[in-house]
Amino acid sequence: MNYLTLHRQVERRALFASRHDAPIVYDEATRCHVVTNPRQVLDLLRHPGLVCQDIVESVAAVTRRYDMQLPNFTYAAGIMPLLMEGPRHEAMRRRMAAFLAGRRKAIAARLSELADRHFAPLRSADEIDLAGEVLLPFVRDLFSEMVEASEIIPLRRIAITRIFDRYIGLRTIQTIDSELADLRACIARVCAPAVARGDEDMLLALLVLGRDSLLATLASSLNAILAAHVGTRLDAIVFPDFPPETGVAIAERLAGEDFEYGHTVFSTGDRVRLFLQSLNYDPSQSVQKLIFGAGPHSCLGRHMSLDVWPAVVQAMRSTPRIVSGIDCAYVDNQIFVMPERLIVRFDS
Amino acid sequence: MSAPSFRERIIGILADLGELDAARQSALLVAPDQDVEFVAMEMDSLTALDLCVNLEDATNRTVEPADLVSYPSINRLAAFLDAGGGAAP
Repeated sequence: MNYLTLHRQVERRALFASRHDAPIVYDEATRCHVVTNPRQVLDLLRHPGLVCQDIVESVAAVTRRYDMQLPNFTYAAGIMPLLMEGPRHEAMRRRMAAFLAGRRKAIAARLSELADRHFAPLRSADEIDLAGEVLLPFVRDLFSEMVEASEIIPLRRIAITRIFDRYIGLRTIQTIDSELADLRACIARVCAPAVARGDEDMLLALLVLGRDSLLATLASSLNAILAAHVGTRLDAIVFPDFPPETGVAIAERLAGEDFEYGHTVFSTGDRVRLFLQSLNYDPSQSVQKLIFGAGPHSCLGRHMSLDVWPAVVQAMRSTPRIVSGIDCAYVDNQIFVMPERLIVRFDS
Repeated sequence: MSAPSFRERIIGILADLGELDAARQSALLVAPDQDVEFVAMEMDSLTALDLCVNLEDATNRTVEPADLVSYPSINRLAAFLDAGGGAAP
């Protein structure tokens, strides 16, 4: 079993559906404790003995070893709430939650128009890349609205969220640093008032982590639904009222102290790979609805995602066409389930 | 003299990094069926990154620590590269 790529293997669905009581295993290849039991995932997300991985220190080790500068990677790793702990983390979450609450009404006001516009090509194309041609520009425009940009912020296909991925090489690290530099320059230009208020950190976190979380969740959810409905008209599909798959498949943690849980002994420094994705397959709907996580690092974009999902469903259901086939290829990302291409074909 | 194969390059880099001694390196080079799992070497994460960086420099392919997990031995990683893995699209 390759626990590094399980979250994007088709077989994951049957596996998670059949192993609600799977024990915690230690995987030699990744040197991680692997948790795929949804109840244990939730417990461990809230467990005080587990802390976030220190990406800043990892980047510092790389810069020392290869005598190179990675100023943007280092900056971004230091301001992402998902990688922070303690009072700084709490302060960033408070700021971000207040900002998102303040923008919710403005985003909601534009959702229908943006969804209508970006999903319109589905009505005429025989084949379309739902991830790249529809969802990416849709999410790009939503986030440009969210951060009150003076113009649309171009977002590239590469998932900068590989910043959270411990398994990337030097070329990818350098590419991410360069792309973060471009994004920071763009934020400085099109969000000048917010940057002047000292909010560059928050906007960057939203445009990296927020954008990829929403994009990946929408794309993987639609992939799961459409793959199960080949041969069905889109307006005849009963879409769930909650995204059925999370795009943030994995939470990686470090044991900050020695402790025992679920017959497993965790020693300080041990790595733990929590499959958030398994929550989608728990028989209990109340557990399924915790795909946005639990504990101090639960997703701040939950409300926004749940506002966006009905608009996406409405746009899909207003397309009276039969899906004749679907192909999905995933980005090589060890944390997110990010479709690189989601090709949907329709009966002409 | 032909260019070294991907397998020979991997073995050479691992020897340079101190993960294979000279005797083991020689044995592997004369016996293509012999293989070594990366897990058995107990490389730390920075040494694994060194292997990837040196391979990238030597082959102009993109090789990431994730590939060492998905192709977890010398021969399997070499087969991945032989099949075009890590090449620019």
